[in-house]
Amino acid sequence: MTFKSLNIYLIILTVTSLFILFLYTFFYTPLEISLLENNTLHLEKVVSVSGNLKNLELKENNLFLEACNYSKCLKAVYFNISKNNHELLNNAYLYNKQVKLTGKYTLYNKKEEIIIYKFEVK
Amino acid sequence: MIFDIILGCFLGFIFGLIPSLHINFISYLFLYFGLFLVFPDKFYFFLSLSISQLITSYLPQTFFSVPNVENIMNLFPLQRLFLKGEALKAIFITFVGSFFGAIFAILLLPFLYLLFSSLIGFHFFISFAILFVLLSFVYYQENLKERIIVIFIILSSGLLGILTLKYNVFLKESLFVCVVGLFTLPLLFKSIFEKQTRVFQKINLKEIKLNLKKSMIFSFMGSLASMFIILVPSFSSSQAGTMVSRIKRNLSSEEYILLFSSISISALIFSYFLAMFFYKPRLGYFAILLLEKQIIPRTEIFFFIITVLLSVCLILFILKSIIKDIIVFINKQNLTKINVFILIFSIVLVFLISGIKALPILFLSAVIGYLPLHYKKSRVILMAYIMIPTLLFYL
Repeated sequence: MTFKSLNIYLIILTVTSLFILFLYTFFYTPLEISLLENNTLHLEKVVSVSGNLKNLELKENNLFLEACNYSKCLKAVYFNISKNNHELLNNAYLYNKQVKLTGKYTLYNKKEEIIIYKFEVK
Repeated sequence: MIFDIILGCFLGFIFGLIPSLHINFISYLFLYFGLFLVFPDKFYFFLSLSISQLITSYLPQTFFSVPNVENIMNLFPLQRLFLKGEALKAIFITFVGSFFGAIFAILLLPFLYLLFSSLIGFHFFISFAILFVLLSFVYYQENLKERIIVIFIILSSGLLGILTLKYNVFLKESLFVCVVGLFTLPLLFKSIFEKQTRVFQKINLKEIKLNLKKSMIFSFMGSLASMFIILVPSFSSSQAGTMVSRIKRNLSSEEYILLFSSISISALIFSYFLAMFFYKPRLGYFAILLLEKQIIPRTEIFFFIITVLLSVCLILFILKSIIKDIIVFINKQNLTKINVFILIFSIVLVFLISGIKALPILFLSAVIGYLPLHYKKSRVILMAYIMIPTLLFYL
């Protein structure tokens, strides 16, 4: 084993790890949570949640909104939203369509919220 | 996650290069300067930081005679090769040991899970293991005089542990103060005041070769020993090393370094694993962060494994690319002057963290820490500082 062969082992292991990470991320199916249940167990995980949108507000290219199921709502934020995505979400809000949000379920100021990674208008 | 790993590796690299900087101290440093506001709940960041800090710390350990408490046993073989002008080879062996050690540690995780699940709550087993190791320190001495010396060192460091860890009423961060005193200062004093011959280090990378099969066997043995040692609180990689060297005698310097670098990285990985699944951190650094609720242990084993592998690879890439330049730099320096600087730096660090009251304790710890060096005994026996209080109060 030489410095050169250690290099080869390192490259193989790095590429393999990154490839596995890529596969895992690509085929990852997020856990679906319900707004009507207590979901604190799933904090800091990537989850998806379905609901109707409320209180859309665009501030410095970040879209703040709420996903609601009846009276139960969950705050969500979409950082650096594109014009197209903003329009899609805005339309879903105007026509009261259900939207499936996928993102990191986290705490902000001790309140639960979702940092949106992607969404799907149903 | 990838960003966390890269940032953790670079910071760990910087901290690892600073001699005598213990990983526990880094966690205190982060708490004091409120760095958790910048890095809130970054589990993977701290994991990669500690891995890269551990592997990088082999450099100052080789060049400046300054050990880190997790790797005290590494010191002598590393120094032996340093004195032969083979520091580059010594460091290369630590790279190989860490690389294979990390892979074997990951493969052994399911066995550790089963072992820990079946032994959890068996305090009798833990007490017996600590007692057995303490007695074996004494038993392996050649004659009565040597045994009395070892008993004296065990009792004095144990008493220091009881007074500073259990009944400490005046000292802030006593563990840090005593670790510096017991393990860092005595070697620095020795290297400063003893006449040193200047050794120029070889820098030819092509001359360095290791047997792949042997590297893998010793790394596996290291990971295996680490798996058993991590079950017992107060045991560190040093004890695991002592145990293996007792079983397999006449180890060469190469084998020693392979074994201990593998033990160290495995112990770190296992410690994180136990914290994640059993909330039982065996690492002071991680325990501090958990206690202060600065990081939340995750149970995503897949990301944990990927973080470990990527961190090990990234830090080894970084170190491999600069190691030759470091050796060239070291060849030009007067190491005694650097050791004096590190001595002053360590004392100032203790003063800043724990105040003026810490200095007498630091001096006392340094005197106790000097005893094994003076009587030519293994410095692992100083770990009685943690083992005796654990045996008496923390099980």
